[in-house]
Amino acid sequence: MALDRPAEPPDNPAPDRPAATPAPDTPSDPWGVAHLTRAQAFESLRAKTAAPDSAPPLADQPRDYWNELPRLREEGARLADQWAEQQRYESGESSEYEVTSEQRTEALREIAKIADTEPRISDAVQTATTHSDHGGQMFGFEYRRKGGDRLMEKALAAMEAQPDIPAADIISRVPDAIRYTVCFESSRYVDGYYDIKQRLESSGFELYYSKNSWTNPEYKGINTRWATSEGQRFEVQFHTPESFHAKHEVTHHAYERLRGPLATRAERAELHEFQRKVSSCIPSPERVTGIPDYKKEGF
Amino acid sequence: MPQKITYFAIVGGDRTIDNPSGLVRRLEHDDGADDEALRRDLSWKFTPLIVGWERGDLGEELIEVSHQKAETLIQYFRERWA
Repeated sequence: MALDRPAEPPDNPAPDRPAATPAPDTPSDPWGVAHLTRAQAFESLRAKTAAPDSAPPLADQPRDYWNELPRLREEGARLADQWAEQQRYESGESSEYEVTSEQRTEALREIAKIADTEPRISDAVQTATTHSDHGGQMFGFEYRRKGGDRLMEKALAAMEAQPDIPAADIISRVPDAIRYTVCFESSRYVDGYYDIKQRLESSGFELYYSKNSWTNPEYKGINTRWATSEGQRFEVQFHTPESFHAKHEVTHHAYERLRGPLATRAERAELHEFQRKVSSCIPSPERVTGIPDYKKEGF
Repeated sequence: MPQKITYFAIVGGDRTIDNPSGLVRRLEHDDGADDEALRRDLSWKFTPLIVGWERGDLGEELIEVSHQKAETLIQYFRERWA
């Protein structure tokens, strides 16, 4: 299955990374990670959160994510090896979607339009994050546009299950064709969320969906969806360094495997259990359960 | 035989559970679950939509419906997709 991101962090900053890379510990780079690769940034954040002057862990947090990470990685690798073995036995199975060639053509046409609208949205989200008073940091900016193959695969799955919905409508509803991730430290997460939300609304974007998944046993974070005045939708995910790392580096392959057709029921059960285990190690931000879900009618 | 089957109506835009755009279901067995979507020919096939929805990764909303409602919706799609 095609992935929308490389399997490993890039060794060098991607060419489409934000141009501004301020020196460490400047106000726009409060964690001093903007000049680092993702792998280096995670190590830096881990060191900072483990430092003696960091905020004490919350009482209800059973385990420390970064301390548990080697064990979680080991388990993820073991599962990945297991999947590779199984794939060899199941290679005859088809994952083709039953969608007409007209629908595929229409979908491709709609996907091509998305690139035109992305730069203005990116500028606004970057500005909102940079000006945030709560130390927000954009992670994974280089992945802000979902890869065409990955977007098409996602659209085909939705089209197959909704055969009389026009491909253009299906594509327009894919929430993360354009997506951003903003990270805040746990203690500043809630204030940071509301600050970015207010700044994006002031930029003329409309929030039409917000899902608080911090009580979800398998995924932590808040996914928000927005629309420009021209109707282009995009997603902004709110994470802590731990929840982003878990999603992006530890459970990503398990999630992709769960989305594919090849995993057996027993394997799916094991993958869900793995996601629960990883998520149970992620500390919840203070006051985060008070952020309500939201859905605008008609979207 | 699955021990439990849960049906979800796919609702996006101005659709409701009375005129959803699709129907998916989760079949729970002793050894794990299978997720399936109803296709145009009214057969059921694996779908990633439920897993994506659980992760906040689906543009449409899924709304759980009763088995009786699911039967009504299958009839609705039989007429609509014919």
